[in-house]
Order: sequence, then C-alpha cells, then structure tokens
Amino acid sequence: MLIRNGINSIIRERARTALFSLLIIFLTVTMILSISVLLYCNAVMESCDEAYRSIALIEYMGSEYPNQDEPDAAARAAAEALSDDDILAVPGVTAWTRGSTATAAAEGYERRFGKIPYGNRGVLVVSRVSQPVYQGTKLDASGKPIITEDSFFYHTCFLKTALYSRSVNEGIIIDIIDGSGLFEPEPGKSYVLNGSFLDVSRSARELGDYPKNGLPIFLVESFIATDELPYAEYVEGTEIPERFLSAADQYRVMNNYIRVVPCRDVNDVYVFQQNDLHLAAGEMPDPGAPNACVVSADLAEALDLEPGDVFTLEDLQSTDNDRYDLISTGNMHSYTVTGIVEASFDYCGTIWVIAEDADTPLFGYLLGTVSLDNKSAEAAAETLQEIVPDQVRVTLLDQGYGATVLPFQEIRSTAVNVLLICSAGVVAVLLLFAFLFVGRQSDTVRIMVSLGTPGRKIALWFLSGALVVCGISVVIGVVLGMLLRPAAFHMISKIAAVGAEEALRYSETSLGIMKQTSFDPQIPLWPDLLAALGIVALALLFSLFFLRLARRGGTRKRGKSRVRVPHGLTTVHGEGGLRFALLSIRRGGLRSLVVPLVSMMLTVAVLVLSGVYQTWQDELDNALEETRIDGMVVSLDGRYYSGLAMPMDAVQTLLDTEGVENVSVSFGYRYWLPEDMPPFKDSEGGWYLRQSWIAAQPDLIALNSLSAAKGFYYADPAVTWLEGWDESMLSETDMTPIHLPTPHGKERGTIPAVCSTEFLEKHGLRLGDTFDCMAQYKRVGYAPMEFSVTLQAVGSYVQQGGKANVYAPLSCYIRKDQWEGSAVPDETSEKPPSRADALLTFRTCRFYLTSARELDAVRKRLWEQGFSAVGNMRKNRTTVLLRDAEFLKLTENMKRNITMGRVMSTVISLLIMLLGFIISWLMTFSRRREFALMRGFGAQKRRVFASFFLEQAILSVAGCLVGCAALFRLYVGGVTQPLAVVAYLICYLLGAAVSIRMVGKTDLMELLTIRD
Amino acid sequence: MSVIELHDVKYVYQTQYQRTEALRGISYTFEPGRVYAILGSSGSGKTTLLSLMAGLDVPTDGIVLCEGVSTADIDLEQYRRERVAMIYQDFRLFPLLTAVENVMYPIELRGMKPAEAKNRSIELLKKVGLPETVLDRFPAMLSGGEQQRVAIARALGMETKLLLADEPTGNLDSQNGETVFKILEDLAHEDGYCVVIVTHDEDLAKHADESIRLHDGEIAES
Repeated sequence: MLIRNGINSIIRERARTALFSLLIIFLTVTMILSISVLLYCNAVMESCDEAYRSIALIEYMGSEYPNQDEPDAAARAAAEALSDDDILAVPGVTAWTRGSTATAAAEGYERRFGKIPYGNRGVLVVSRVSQPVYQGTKLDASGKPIITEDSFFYHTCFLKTALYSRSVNEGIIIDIIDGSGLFEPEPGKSYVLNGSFLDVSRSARELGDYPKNGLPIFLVESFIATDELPYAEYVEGTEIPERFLSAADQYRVMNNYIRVVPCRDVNDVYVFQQNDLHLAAGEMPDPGAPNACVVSADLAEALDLEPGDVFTLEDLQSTDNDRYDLISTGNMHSYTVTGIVEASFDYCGTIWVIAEDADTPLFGYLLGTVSLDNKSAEAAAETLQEIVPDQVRVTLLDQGYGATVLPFQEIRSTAVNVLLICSAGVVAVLLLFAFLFVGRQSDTVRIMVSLGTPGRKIALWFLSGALVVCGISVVIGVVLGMLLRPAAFHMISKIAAVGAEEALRYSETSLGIMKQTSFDPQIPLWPDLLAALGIVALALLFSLFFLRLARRGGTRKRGKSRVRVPHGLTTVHGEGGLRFALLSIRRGGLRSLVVPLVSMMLTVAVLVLSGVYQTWQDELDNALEETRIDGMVVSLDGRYYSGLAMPMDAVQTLLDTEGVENVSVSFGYRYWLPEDMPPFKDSEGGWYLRQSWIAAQPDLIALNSLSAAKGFYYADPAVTWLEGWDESMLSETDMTPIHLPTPHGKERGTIPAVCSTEFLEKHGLRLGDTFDCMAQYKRVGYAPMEFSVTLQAVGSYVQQGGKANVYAPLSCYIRKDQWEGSAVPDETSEKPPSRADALLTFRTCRFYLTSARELDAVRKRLWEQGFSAVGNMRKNRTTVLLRDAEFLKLTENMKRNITMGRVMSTVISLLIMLLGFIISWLMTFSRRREFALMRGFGAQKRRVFASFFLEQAILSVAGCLVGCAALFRLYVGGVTQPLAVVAYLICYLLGAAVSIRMVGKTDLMELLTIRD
Repeated sequence: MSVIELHDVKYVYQTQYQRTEALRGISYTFEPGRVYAILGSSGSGKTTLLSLMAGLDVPTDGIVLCEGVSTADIDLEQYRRERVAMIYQDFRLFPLLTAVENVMYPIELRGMKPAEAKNRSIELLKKVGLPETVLDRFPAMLSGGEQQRVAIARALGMETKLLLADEPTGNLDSQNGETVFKILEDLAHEDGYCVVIVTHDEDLAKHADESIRLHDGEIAES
C-alpha cells in the first residue's frame, strides 16, 4: 500500500514526471554513450599501441645526404658528439642503436645482388695477344691505318685463366685496352692483367669509340691503392706474381662482403619498421637474445641456413675512406638464425643481429636509430631534436600511430568533457528531481508524521516513487544507449579515418608508412551499467536527503518555534517593481546572499575559462601570423630531398599555385679546377677514369635561393658576403646558362658564386677573387658536356663536412626570363609562352607558404593539382612534403583546446541557464503567495515580474561585479572575457526569467488559496 | 445605486476527471453602506462567489456588474486595483515589508509617490486603531489582530467602495474578532463601504445588515 501510494503520488504529477523522465533518459543516454566512446577510444589507442612501432632516425644533414657510402667527417663528428646516456635518458626512448654497420665474410658466399663495389674488377691470365687493332683511323693508300698518337687501338686475346672475374668465363676471346699508359704487349705472348671489364652498353654511349666486335672489353688499370704495374708477362709453368693473387683475393672478399646490421630489436630497424622487408620463415629474434639474427634469403640459401642454425662469419674491417675497401681480421663470430627475410636486391647478403654497436667507421648519414614508446614518441622526438648537434635531424617514423590516434584522442577528450558536464547535469537534475518529488512534499510528510507513520515507512513511500520514476527512465536510457552504441562507434571510426587522411596530406607528420589497421575492440558493458546504477543510487541518495529535510521541517522541536524577523525600517526609496526588489534584497537575509555568491563563483569560472580561451586564441593567431611553413619536393618515401629530377612543368604548377611563394630550385654541375685534375691518359681508358674522377667532384649548384641548397635545408646558411653582394644575386643575375652557347658568340662573363671557406683557403683565394674552373653538364641519354667558366667568389660559407659545393645564380642553368615566365615566345610555335621545358629538371625544390593560414587551402590545391604525397603516387609524380610538424603540433593543440572551449562554452551557457533557472525557481517558488497577493491587488503582470526579476538581476549582477573586481588582474585583453561575462549574465537572467514566468503562471484563483 | 450586482452567476470548475458547478445561478445586489454576510457549509460556493466579486476570474455564465459595468468587459487587473479591496483570513501580508509598507503597496499601485503613500498609510493604520509603535514592525512581529488591522488598512488604502473579506475573524480570538468586525461595520455605516464578509460564524452573521446563505451553489436563504 505504501509503495503503491508512493508511486501514485509521484506519477500523478504527470507533466513533472514526464519532464524529469525525459531529462533522466537524455542524461543516461548521453552518459552511456560518452562512457562507451571513451572506452572505445581507449581500446583503439591500446590496439594501436600494440600494432604500431615508433622509431626515430637520427641523421646528419650533410651536403652529400643521402649517400649511404659517403665518408663524411662532419657526420662522424656529429655521431661522436652524440651521447648514448643522454639519448637513453630521454623519456620515451626504449633503445638506441648507432648507425654504423659492420661487414663480414663467409666461406662459400658469393654476392649476386646489391652494391658490388668492385664487380667489374678482374685479374686475368690472357694468352695469344694480338697485334694492336686500330679503329676509326684513316687508311693510307695501301689500305693500312695511319697511326698517330691519338689513334685508338686494342688487342684481342684469349682469356686463359680468370683468377678473379664476376662477369666473364674462362676460355673466351676478349679485347683488352690499356688504361695504364704503359702496357705494350708483344703479340702472341701471355700476360697476367689487373683491371676492369667495361660496361659495353655504357661505354657505347660514353666512349663513343670502342671495339665494335662485340667481345668483352677489359681495361688494364692499376691496383687499388698501390702503384705496382698492373700487368706482367706470364710464362706457362711459372708462378703468378703475388700482387695479382692477393688482388684477386681482395676483390673476392670485397665483393662478397656480408653486411652485419647490429640492433637492439630487429623490428625497429628502418626497413622492417617501414614494412619494406618481411620474414619469409622463422621469427624475429627476441630483443634480449645476443647474436640472434635474421638473415636475407640469398644468404640463407648460399650458406644453407634454416631457422635455428648457428653459423660463423669472419669480421672484415673497412678503411676510413671507403666502406668497401675491406680487409680480413681473422676474428670469427657465431650467430643463431631465428628468421629468414625475403629481401630486395639492396638488402641481399645482410644479417640483422641483436648486438652492441658496430666498432666500424660511420659511412653515410644515418647516425643511429632510436626505438620509442608509441605514446610518448612525439615528445621524445622533440626532446631528441633539442639534444642532438646542429645539422642533425630527428625523423619520427611511427607508422601513422600519431595520425591514427590523434582523432581518437580528440574524440576521447570531447567524451571526457561531455561526461563531466553530463555528470554535473545529472547531479543538478537529480537534486531538482529529489527536491520537487520529495523535498517539497512536507505537507504529506507532516500528515504521515501526524498519523504516527514510522520513519522507515515514510522513506519507503517516497523512495519507491522516486525509484520507479528514476529507475524506469534509467532503464529506458540504458536500452537506448545500448542501441545507439554501435552507430556511435561506427561514426567515430569514420570521422577518425577521414580526419587522419585529410589532416596528413603532404604533411611532414605523415612520414613513414601508414599502417592500414582496422579496429573492432570489444567494449564491456559493465561500466555503462555501473554508471546507470550510479544515477539511480544518486537519485535515492538525494531523495533521502530531502526527505530528511522535509521530516525535520514537518516536526517541530519540542518547545521551540523560530520565526525569522527581517530588519529595517519603513523606507520610501525607489518606485514600482524596483522598490519591491530592493526591499526584498535588503531584507532577504541568507537568501540575498546565495544568489550573489553563486553569481560571483560562476563569474570567476567564466572569467577564468574565457581568459584561457582568449589566451589560446591569441596564441593561435600569433602562431598563424608568425610561423613560416616551408615545403619541399622529396622522394616518394619522403626521406630524400636532393638528387631528384623534378621536371620544369611540375615546378611551374607549383609556381602558379595560390598560397605558394618563394619557390627555389637548384641544379648541380660537377665542377673542378683544371689544376686539381690529375693527368689521365688521353685514351679511352683514361677517359673512363677521368669520368669517374669528375663524378666524385663537388657541385657547382645553380639556384635562386640558398634555401634550395641541399646543404642548407636543415641549417641556416651563414654566408659572409663581399661588400655590395647579397643573396639576391642568385635570383637577380641574368646570364646565359652554362650549357648553352652565348648569343652572338659574346663572352660569357664572370659568374658570381658562393664558395666554402675551406675551398678558398685551399686554393689561396679570397672574397672578390676570380678563378677559372670546368663544369660538366650531364643529362640522361646524352654524352656529358664540359664547359669552362670563370667564377668570382662573392660570398663564403663554412663547410660542414661533405664537398666544397659552389653556389651560383639560377640563370647558370635556366634563363632568367624563362624562369620568370617572361620568355619571348617562339613566333613559329603555336604554343603559348611557357616556362615548361620537359627537358629541364631540378635536383632540389623548396618553397614557402604565403601564410600559415593558407596551410589547409594549399594542401587542398596541391591535392587538386595531383601532386604525389609521401607514399601515395599520383598523376603528378612530383612528391611534395610540407614541413608543418612543429606548426601542427603547436596549433593542433590550441585548435583542439579552442574547439573544446567552444563546446564547453555552449554547454556552460546551457548549464548556467539551468542554474539560473534552478536558483531563481527555488528563490521564487516559495514566494508564490506574494505573487498571488500582488496580482490580487491588481498589480500588472510586468510589474510583478519586474519585482522578482529585478531582485534576481541586481543580486546576480552584484555578484558578477564582485567576481570581476576580484579577478581584474586576470583580464587578458580583448573582448572575449567581457563578452563571456555578459553572455553569462544573459544566460543566468534568461534562466531566472523563465523560472519567474513559470512560477507566475499559476492560476490566480489557485494562488489565493495557497497556504504556506 | 448598487456597488455590485450579480445576475444569474454560474461558475464551473472543469477538470480532466470531473465537472463541478460551484455556483448555479446566483443573483444579488449589494448596496453601499451595508454589511453583508455570506454563510454556508464547505463547498457551498462562498469563496468562489467572493473570488468572482474580487475579479480574480469571470463567471462561466451570468454577469457580475460593478457600478453598471460587467467584469467580463473590463480589465480585471484594473478592476482589482481600483474597484475592489480584499481581506483574507490569514491576513496575507508581505513578510518582508513593514506594516506601513504593506499598506503602501496598493496605494503605490494606484500611482501615488512613496512619500505620500507613506503618510496616507500611517493615517489608515491609525484609523484602524494601530498604535504608532508598531507601524514600522514586520508582520512576524505583530499579533493576529494587529496583522488583520494592517490588512484592513491596506484594503482601505485601495480607496474602493467594495470591501470583500474572506473569514476576516477566522484566525482571531473572540475579542480581536469583535474589534475587527466593528471596524468593518463602521467602515460600512460611517464611510459608506459595501462590506461583504464570507464567514462560518453565525453570531457574526447576525450582526450583519444582510445575510446570504448558500447551499450547493445557490442562495438558500437571504
């Protein structure tokens, strides 16, 4: 009976029950969804953490980057400067492996693929050497060739024994050419020869003149690092001179080297982390198992290795200047195979072993690899960048972990905020619910008490009603929440996928492979159910609290009756509604303190929040205003930015892209000073050696800005300029490109250039001096061309390792008017004037965004123009990378905060409105009799409304002003804070107005019968 | 000339579940200078009749004519402000206003400045016999009789000819009840007010000039 009556007494208040049921359902659904989303995001992030691996490459950005075999002293110095302890001490770093790799040799292994440094070398025993065969020479009247010093000749002979040769077999006829300038064989004799086999297809292009009988060509040339004669006469039955035997052994060792890559965890080696290589058999070694290794499949096949086998290698030692100049050390090392890798050509003959760093010189620019904890990888990479020496770049490769997780982090933080706000809403609504359904039932309580009802039964009466209303609402909310959960998860994963893809186009943060991982985490239901139970429990708790208050109010303390008497005398101040409001304020006692106090606290909260919001906004504006974002053209994997072949039409598209400015490009000619070139025999062999020498020379780089110089990509160019010169000369100078003839045979003139100080010192030059040099122009499919140019050193820079490159104006490579798009069109051509020249390509290309605000727009335009992004080849094969990582890191945080601030401000506004409503409602509801009286006296509605509203308004404004005064020092400028306070007041007063209107809407006849 | 006339006044309380005819055709004329007592058992329609005369609502059917004008045709707020004054059993004083301020309220509603309203209020309070010492007191500091006198003074401040009282002595002891009744009687007989009192008190009704007994929404006896 008690329960039935309790339930009935509550649910018969239909409108109120419906309103609160809806509110509780809404809040329950919101809470369940926010908890589920929170758990979903956590689960996805946990899955990501397991599925992804993060590493950071520590690379030296030297002028020859990314040449992996470059013995760059500056890179080695930078590697020396790296402290293992400092790196390992960075939070988030789990392991650190230096970049040096070792080499080893194995009995029975012959390298077939990958870099074979001396693959064309040979040590041969040839017999039956022919008379010299002259080619391309004129014949005299008798039909014999007219022999001069420049006449090209060769000998044909029989290859009797190949002491070392990879390219030809014994027992065949070959041609030999003298590359030493000393070899003059006697016809019919046998010789032991050291030299190289020529690449016939290449020599066909480059030599232009060669034996045309189709036989292999062997060039007799000197030994590596010795000046002993590369040939010796051989007499059958005698011993072959030792130098030839040891050369053959040396070539065999050097060409069949095995690369040993030490690491702490094979999974974190770049090629494995980037999924370039995969296990074909076995498994990855345990990071804690020393000498456990995975081997390339070719090596496993050659050595007949299976997972579980133990094999031995002999350590080889490189010289400082040549990675492949190897000697045997006699030290043997045993390794245990755990897995076999299906390796590409570049990784044939490699083992990846769990071992300490290799004790070998560093070649190339990879100083080391850091293994990182996914969650703190970004921060760790940032810290690492701070502690590494200048010109060392830290590249974070996280397989897309950051990008994948980022949207989930944002969604999670939103879910947390929603959950917090929802919790506050639950507390507010349940308080009001308990107050209205239980707290205001003091009449009923009084009656029940007067009838001698036990307290337990009174509690049962009220709690049963509250439980039914709240419980049913919560159950409905739970069911709805459960139904909506899958849709919410689906939506989140879609939003996250789109967000990650769009945000990362062309972004530096997308470096490295993007793992395609699908997530379907199982989210437990119990947290949702627990939250639902919590709502019901809270409702009961509040009901109990208000029941206690109601019982206390309904039961007089024996012999005590307290009546509050206001203070003050009759006044005549004020008029109308204002007068009544002021009197109520003055005499309201505690009631008149509650509103300003709450108002003050809310103002403080609003001021602080809006102040923080304003600060975020200002910081974002500053970042957008002050940050300069640059971009560059890179290789498809995003790691290399030099040595490219970016066609002119792609550069033109970039130049015409809105939001892109300062497009700078470069092109390199090999250059040398004539006096630096060693003498080469004026023969075809000498020509070949000369080309090899030229290929090793530094570049004369034509560019329009030093920012396009590969050596200055990651270091600001510190150039000392000759007076009157500056960087503008690179773009302003107008001259004929080096490889084009000057018009009407005019003098080419002196080319202003920026040289390294080392170069100038070495050649006894100073700024302002001129010097002559040679430059070589090479274009694919054409023979190299050489030009003599005169340079004037107008600037100098300090060379950081690498080669002494010289920087010259871009017009050394492309005509100024052609670059600027103002070239006079060819009248015979129907095509419009264009900068595009399919034959012109650039080695580097760098550009800037006109403003950081343009970032998204430029991203979109680049996408529309079909530029390739890292790892995503598109119709425009030029891959563009925007260096926006720092900017994004800075601004994404702010944007997230600002977005959160916007959401929060909306929710807070609603909450304030609700609070205004609740407080005003509580303040005015108990004064309904005063409403009735005023209306009974014929007071106009607006006057009655004003009487109560002004009271609330004055009190809340007073509290607000006190709050503002207290936090005056926290004013951060701008209008956000004042507007926020005004918005707060409007929201609060709106809530108050609604509640006063609602209280005043009671029927007048009913009002006059109200008993307090 | 009559102060208020009721012509076949009917009033129905309509709820979702039931329809209650509170008044079933009341016709009566109230003259100035007289005290009327409305008697009847609970639910007979006394308070409803008083509410309609007070302009809290208009009849469902029939006409309430005040000085020749139907309450259905005029602004009820204005009517309540200018034509009728009401006294309640539980005094209905503003708890946060002093005795003077309570009386000032309806006077100010009529547009008088507070300072003048104060003087007028003091006059009225003195007229109903309140000593000067209690004028600045709040209702909680006054006795029941004093509170009812403040309520009467407040009604007088409205300067209407029609004074409606709902059980004005119901919460008072017999001595105070008599005093209050005497004040109301004097107001009718000396100042020409038409005083209509709803009461259960047969003795009190006997002192009225006319008694109207209601039964089930109809005049059973007058």
